[in-house]
Amino acid sequence: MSSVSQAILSSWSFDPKITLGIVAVIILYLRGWRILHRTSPARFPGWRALAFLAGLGTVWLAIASPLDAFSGLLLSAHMVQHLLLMSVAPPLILLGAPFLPLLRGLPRKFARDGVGPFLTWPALRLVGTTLTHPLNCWLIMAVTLFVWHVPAAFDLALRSPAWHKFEHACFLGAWLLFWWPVVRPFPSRPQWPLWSVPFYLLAADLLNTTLSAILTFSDHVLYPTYLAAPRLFGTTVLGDQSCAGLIMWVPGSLVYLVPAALIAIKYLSSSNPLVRPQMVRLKRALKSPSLPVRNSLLARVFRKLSVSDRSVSLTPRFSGVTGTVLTSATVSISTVFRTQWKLLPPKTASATPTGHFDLLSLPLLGPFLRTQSTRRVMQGVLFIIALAVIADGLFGPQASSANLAGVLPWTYWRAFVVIALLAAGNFFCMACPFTLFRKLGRRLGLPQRAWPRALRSKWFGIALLVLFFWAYEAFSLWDRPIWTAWLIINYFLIALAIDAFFSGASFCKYVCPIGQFQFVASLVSPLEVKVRQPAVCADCKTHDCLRGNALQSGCETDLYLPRKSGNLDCTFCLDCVRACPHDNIGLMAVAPGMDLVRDSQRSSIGRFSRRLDIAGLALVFVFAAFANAAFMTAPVVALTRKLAAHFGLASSQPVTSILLFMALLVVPATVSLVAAYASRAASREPITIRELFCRFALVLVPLGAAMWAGHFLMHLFVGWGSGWATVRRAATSLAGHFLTLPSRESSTLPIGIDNLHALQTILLDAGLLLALYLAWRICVSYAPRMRDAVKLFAPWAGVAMVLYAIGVWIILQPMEMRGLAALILPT
Amino acid sequence: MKRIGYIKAFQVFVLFGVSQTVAHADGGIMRLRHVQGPFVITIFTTPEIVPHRAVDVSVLVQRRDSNDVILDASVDLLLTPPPTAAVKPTDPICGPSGVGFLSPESAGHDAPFSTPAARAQSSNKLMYAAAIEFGRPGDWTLDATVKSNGASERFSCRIPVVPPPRQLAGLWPYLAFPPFAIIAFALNQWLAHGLNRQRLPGVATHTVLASAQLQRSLPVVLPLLGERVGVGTGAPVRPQGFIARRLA
Repeated sequence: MSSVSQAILSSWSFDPKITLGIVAVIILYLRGWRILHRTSPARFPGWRALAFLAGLGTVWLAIASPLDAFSGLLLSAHMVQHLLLMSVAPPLILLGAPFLPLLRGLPRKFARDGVGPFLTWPALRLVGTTLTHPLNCWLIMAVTLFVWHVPAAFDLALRSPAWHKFEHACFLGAWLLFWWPVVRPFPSRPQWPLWSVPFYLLAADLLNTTLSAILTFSDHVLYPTYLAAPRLFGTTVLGDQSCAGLIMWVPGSLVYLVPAALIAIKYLSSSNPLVRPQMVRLKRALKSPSLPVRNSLLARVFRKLSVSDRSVSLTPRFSGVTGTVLTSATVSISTVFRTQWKLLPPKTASATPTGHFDLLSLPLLGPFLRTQSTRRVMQGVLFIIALAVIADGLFGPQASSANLAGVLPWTYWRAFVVIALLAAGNFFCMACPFTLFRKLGRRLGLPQRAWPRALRSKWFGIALLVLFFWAYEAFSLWDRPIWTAWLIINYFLIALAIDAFFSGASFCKYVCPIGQFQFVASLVSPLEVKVRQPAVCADCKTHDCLRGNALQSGCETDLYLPRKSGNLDCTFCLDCVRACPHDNIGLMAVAPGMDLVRDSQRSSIGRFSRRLDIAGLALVFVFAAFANAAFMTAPVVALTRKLAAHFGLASSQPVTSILLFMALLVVPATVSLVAAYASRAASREPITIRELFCRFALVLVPLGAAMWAGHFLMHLFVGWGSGWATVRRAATSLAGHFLTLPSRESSTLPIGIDNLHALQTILLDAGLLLALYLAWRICVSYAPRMRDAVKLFAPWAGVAMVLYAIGVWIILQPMEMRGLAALILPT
Repeated sequence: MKRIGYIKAFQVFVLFGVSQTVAHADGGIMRLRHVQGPFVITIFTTPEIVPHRAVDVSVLVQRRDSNDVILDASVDLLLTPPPTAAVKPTDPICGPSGVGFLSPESAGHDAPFSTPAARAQSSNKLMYAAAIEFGRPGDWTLDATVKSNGASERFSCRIPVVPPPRQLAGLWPYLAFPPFAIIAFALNQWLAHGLNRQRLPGVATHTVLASAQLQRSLPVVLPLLGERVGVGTGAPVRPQGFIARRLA
């Protein structure tokens, strides 16, 4: 193969967004198809899935293959690309009958509650019926074809990547509509009879032929782009244009004419059941007085889709028609049918796990996480790293960006912890080195007391957390390696002391500021330590998960698993997993944050609505996220300096401290109280202020977590390049020649500042939407009437949106990097 | 005849317009197409060039006599900032090969920099490309040196770098998503609450529940079936549509 051919064949362009989108659709489709294939293999055979995959593969090929790379240089290549998008991909996609598999592939709750109401909306039905009318489909195709082949529009698409993508989207969308009346994907109902389809296709071919002829026979260049583009492979501009016209004419016409001929032949053939319009058969069936409703076409379809052979007896009095239409059109029915209609065999209670994802059930990873030694090893590794950080912080150079104590905790550790929290769960507490010597503390033989009752709340933890945030700003901990080292040393000593004097994990539950931060953030984690089968726990008398047994201690934060809900106070130590004699506890996937909607009685915590301290902790977590990031922005730093100068202060520290305390304590409490009063007054629901305050404070946690994530990720991306060099320097200075690490060119993560801002905005978007959704769900539980729910919801939605706007403002501000790797950001 | 008239008119239009035509190709906008020595060189860049954003600069090298693409040439790009702009220092970070960075400020003078262009960098493997980050707006000068088979030629063109758009404008797709999602959710809730308010008098309770549950809880393909279901508060649901009337 010549080098030019090789170069051409290797000219692929990979767009991650489009590729990921296509992969997501494929996963969704296959998930739904698998279920439908089990219940109705005749309706959803394997070839449908293959057709759909081939269709999407064709789309990807059109936009990622060398065709796209050469579309701007050769009109013929561009034409092949368009033909794939117009004439190959859409019919294949529709042959996959994608509607029901995609619907069924969605999470059931989302399909039922999210999509369901839209599908029964008359306005949308009207739009759908209108759009899929063959005449409209043909017209849309025609308009799209001609508009985008106008030279000005064609050149615009070549000039601008965004318009080019839009052009491709238009072609794909318009031709999906065009092929709809031809392919008639299940379960659509044809609006025109089958015999009209050949004429429909012939009319389309007429259009195609007209345009192709213009391109083929034109003696001047229609698209100026190609006139000025360099000529490749010995082609001329007009020759390329004619070739494109021929491609559009010959293969482009075949895709219309072949199906038209096939359909015409089949229609004229009397033996093939597909020939007769389904409507005619239905008419014959309905005209027969002896045929009951159950033998209607739709009822037959329904029977094929359902497991049971029982006939459907529907009476007109029951809106039976509606019921027939509904039931036969939906294949995603399972539980409702079984319980309400008794049409399918009742589902037997299964002794197997509920079907939710369980991390501990995965091969290799599950057993790895379960073993006690895994936790010890993780703790040991972090302990060694902590020792290195302490040593370098005490004895190394006091430049934060060149010291382990400046780089590892404040650039890497914070970001990885938050990423782990949002992606999985509270894995830092699982590997926490501060509790590594808990047993050592116990072995000191000191009398172990219970943690003082007066301190059995989060208030002490809140105070320490606020103190920590204050110290961070007041003493510039990020820029003081030696202070960071002393902080870590004291952390170890305090943990050891508390573990020595007090039983249980009192340090974790009531003291550790990092732990309090982790607990709140883990309220939106996707994994939770929870029971697999509640029925198994109902029969358990020993409660080993809490009390432990001879081999394994139970939960040290006093969480009784059957009554545990959410991740608050859970350190992911997995002692309960190891202690449970029934192996009934796993790391289960949960919907992030949804636990906050419930106000159930939780083990060792009680109800969220009664815990003012937990609400306070959540508010500190949320508002500290914005305050901590805001104090890094140039405008806020300038403001503090200005205020300090105004009051004649030598340093801006007092101003910073006051502003910080206001931001962490005064503002959250005030805002939340005002919102609570406002929502109660507006809705007139009989709810106490305390309850409103406590419950709705927690819904802001997703927003706070998003802000923390965006902030720490920024530090991670900016300071990424400094990690290895710092580690290498520290290894040399600490271990000398015993540990010589290879040098490596330091690099940044391949993400520009624009992409970083986009990522931060996406995180804030997700946080805001989740916060609003949780708040709404709580409002609806209090006020079933929509009007009252909206009034209850409005003040809290306002708080969330204001925080969101502040977050967006913060991420767009130039940052004062304050000792970390400098980055010139556009102003 | 009419069609020929249109074509002729279009031809005239094209002839008038071709001198101002800006050609666009895979690499973006064509900045230069020039024949010099044994080479024909075409330089493409991303359509809009703003500071502090990686810009794709692609070079297509062809033989003058045969227009064959040359795949083994050596292409170096030298970028000179605008004469009045001072180079701002950036952090001294390194990147993958082929990516050029501004060199540190040297006593306040402008500091041109060079970078090689490689075929591996380009999505179109016939071209040589480099990803370049321009530090400041203004008219930069790009000098491309092409060497192949002992011949060496230098080509120059102007690269306009425009001031960056407002950051907020660049984030608009992400900022527009929450309002869209909120509106969609509000509509969803309004529809769901509307369905919940349906009553079907004269029908057994369990069927009422089932019907309401079905209508509320199950994805229904009504638009594709073309069936219309009358929805009214307090009134029985009346079947409409061809099949419904015949089955009733």
